[in-house]
Amino acid sequence: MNSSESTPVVRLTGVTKTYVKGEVKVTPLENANISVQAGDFVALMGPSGSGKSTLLNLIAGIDRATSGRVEVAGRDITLASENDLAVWRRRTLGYVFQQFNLMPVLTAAENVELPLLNLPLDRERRRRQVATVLELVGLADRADHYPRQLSGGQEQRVAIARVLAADPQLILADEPTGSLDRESARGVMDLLVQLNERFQKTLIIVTHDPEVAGRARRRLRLDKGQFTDEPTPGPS
Amino acid sequence: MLPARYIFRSIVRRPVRTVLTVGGIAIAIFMSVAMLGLSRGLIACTRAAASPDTVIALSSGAESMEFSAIDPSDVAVLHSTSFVQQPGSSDPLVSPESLLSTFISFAADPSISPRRGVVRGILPIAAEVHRNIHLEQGTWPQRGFQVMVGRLAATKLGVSTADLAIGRIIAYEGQDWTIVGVFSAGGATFEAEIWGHLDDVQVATKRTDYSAVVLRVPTAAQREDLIEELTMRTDIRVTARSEEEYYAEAASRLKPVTAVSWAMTALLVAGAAFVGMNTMAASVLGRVRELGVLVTLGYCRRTVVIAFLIESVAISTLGGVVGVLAGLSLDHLPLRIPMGAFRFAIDATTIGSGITLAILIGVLGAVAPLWRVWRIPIIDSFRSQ
Amino acid sequence: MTWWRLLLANAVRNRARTFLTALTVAVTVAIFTALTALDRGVSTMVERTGSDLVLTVFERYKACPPFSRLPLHYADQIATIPGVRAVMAERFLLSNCQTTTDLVSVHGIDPQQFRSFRSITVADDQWRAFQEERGAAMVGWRIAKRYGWKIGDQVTLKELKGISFVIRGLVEAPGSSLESVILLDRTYVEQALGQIGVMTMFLVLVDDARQVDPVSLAIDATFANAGTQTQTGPERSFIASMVDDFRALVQVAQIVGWCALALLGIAVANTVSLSVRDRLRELAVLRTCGYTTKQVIGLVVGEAGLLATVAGAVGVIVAATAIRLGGLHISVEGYTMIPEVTALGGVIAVVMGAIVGLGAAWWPAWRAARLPIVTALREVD
Repeated sequence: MNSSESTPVVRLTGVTKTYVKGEVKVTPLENANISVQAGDFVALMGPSGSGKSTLLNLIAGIDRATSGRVEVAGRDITLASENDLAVWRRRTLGYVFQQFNLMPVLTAAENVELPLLNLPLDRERRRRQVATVLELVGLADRADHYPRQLSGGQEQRVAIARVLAADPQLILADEPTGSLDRESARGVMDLLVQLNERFQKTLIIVTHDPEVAGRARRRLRLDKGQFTDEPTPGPS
Repeated sequence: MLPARYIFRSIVRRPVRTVLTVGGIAIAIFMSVAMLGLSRGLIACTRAAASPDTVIALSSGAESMEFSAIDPSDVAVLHSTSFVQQPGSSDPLVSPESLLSTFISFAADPSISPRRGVVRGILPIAAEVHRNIHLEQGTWPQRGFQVMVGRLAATKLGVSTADLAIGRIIAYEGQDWTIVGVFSAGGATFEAEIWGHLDDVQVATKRTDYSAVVLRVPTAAQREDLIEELTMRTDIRVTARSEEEYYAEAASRLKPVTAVSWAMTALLVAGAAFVGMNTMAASVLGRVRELGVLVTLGYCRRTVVIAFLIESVAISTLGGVVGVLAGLSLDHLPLRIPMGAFRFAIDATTIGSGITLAILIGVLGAVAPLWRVWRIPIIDSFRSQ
Repeated sequence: MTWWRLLLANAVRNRARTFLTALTVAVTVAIFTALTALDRGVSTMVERTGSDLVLTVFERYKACPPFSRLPLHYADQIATIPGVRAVMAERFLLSNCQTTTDLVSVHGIDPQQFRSFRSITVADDQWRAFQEERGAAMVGWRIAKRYGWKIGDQVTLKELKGISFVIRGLVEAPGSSLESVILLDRTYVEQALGQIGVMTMFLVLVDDARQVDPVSLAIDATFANAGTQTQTGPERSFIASMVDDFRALVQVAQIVGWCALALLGIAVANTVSLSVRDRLRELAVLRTCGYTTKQVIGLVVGEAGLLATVAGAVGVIVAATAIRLGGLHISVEGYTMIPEVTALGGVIAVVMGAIVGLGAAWWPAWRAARLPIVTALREVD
């Protein structure tokens, strides 16, 4: 734990991302330098199209930087291969989407179990792990329901359970409450905060919702390709 | 009506599925055309053997020429029956014939194993009786162990045309024969045969009886009278029929082949139709919102439905055309069968059937999704996806 | 949850699409099976109709039964050749030599000797009646069924010179052409035809396999200078040669089978393309959960393979049932063949279908799995 001060969970050095959209060249990130320590709870904010999702995707390894260096969980993933990244992701991080992205043909429990099939766990251990995380998100009684039978908030909580199943140290979330009503959103944020405070999960959330951002301990605002730390109101 | 550009662009919007669907339909139509061409070719070849004004006599009780054995004395009687004299011609138009299924060997090339061939012994008068025989090269066989070969004889024997060229020597029934001519017969089964002089064939096979006697009788009334006369007479044991009837019956025995061809065709067409259905279902369902927009813009639902139908039929017809073009490559392809050979007949009927089936696939493919589109309330179309 | 559950789960996502694809697979595998069965039927007929130690003596040069005419007295000379255990003369009568489905075939044989040449299943009392009664016939059960004949029926065949007989028993001989043949006493056939002493062929039973070639040569040498020469050889070779032209045609017809498999491939490729298009985002999400590209491809291809295998099996079963219930048969040169779907043939058909299905699924699956995750996640139809 002490070394975590010197080795950040996430470190981007001089990262630039450029892509071409039709005839226009877009550079959402330019020479960005960011560092996130273990246990941080970071909110990424900024106007639409400002590159906050891009940043998240670079950290998750589902997008590649045009230049610069991306290090996550002590590993340089800038040039890692697709397959290496997939394997690496299994125990390292979880990604929560705005549209939940559960598999509609599987039950809640089966969705949660998906990441576990790739780990050396036997059936019994998988089952227990699934039960544990579903309990944690408060949906143990909905284990056999299909996504279409769940409300938006419940779906998102199953998605979070899916992310938790393999017990990763880093959780990334892209507008996790974007498709939810006020009340469900609050419930999901309570859960995420709990994951950070109780279980020391490093949490990076992309959001445009100030109420969501308000619950984070650190805020980065993206502007013209650069992130700036915003002062946090009140004690952290 | 929606602009053609819209329909065209919709088709090319998803190239992979369009190409696959066209390809699947093309395969099904190609196979259908091939099978229909095969059965039509078989039947056409069989029927073409008949000359219009001829009567064929076989020994009583024989259903086909292979089992017919007419006495020489009966042949003499047939020569003297009425109606077979033609004014201006000295010989009665009576052609006694001897059919033989035998192994043919090649003197010039011992590496060619003996092949099963069909030999027919005829007299020169056969040229007058069978009006569908045309000499393409050389001459009719004279006495002296000469033969002429039909255009499909090489296919039947499984050798090259060069092996049966004029001047070559073949052997059968322990005797060498020189090829002196090549003939065609309007695509009839005769073209798979090798024709020699009747007397030579009889000598070589040590036969005295004949397989058939074919008579040319100018008018239909006379033919009927002749057939009746031959049936009534007790001094000869033959049964007679018009050649047309004889070969029509032979062709009707091919009905099972036609039935199997159609059965296979139906299955393949169904298989391709299912592919088309999947493609159209996906296409239409993916554009349900588009439908809603079009209706809002003032296009009536019927127009949109018709546009989808055209799209489906256009794709399937394209597949049909590709399949038919591929099938055309089989036209007149010769194939050997037991007791003969024939050619594929990829004619107008076969091609027409192919295109029709393709259109049918297009219509079938569009039915289910169109039904849904017709039925769906506009507001739901906006809500989808 | 198991991998099976994952594979099956997606099959029900779009039931109609899965069902239609399964239908195409079933239909095409059925066609493939039927054509293979036809080829198999020809082989089986040759194998079962002939016997190991039997030679056929045919008239030299002749290629079809009605043209082979051998004098009856040749049998006496053949019997004296060393290595020959028995000789039986046969007189055939066929409705025609062509490819047909309504062949009527009469074999005039010697009822006393026949069973030493052929292993057939008959009731002994029925065979005895056949031996003792003039004008009695033993009939293959298939041809009896085809024409609705029963034991005790008097039958007259107008297409065979009006020959008439009474059925005294049914013959079973699985796979053999004899199941579609009418057996009569040879002398009875000769009389009905008004042709005494003219035989279609002789069957010669030799002592053991080593005698096959020497006896064949000896027989042909015996009649080399006679008026009517002979051609002698093992029975199976003879039968195979009779149906050779037909076999060539069947092998050409296999092309239809391959085209059917091509259609299967296209159907599966099309369905998989449509399917992954609907699931692009979902497949990308799997990759964010730690699934490698290979695993995602494997999942999609596995679903297709499972579908192809199950639907293919159904196709085989339907084809086999249709062939059996339809009583399909075809006769060539007097030999009747029954298409046969063997267990091995069925398995091969299913495997072929599965392989084509797996191969066809691979490319669209690969394309989808190779999409950059970001692109796939953004995908809206």
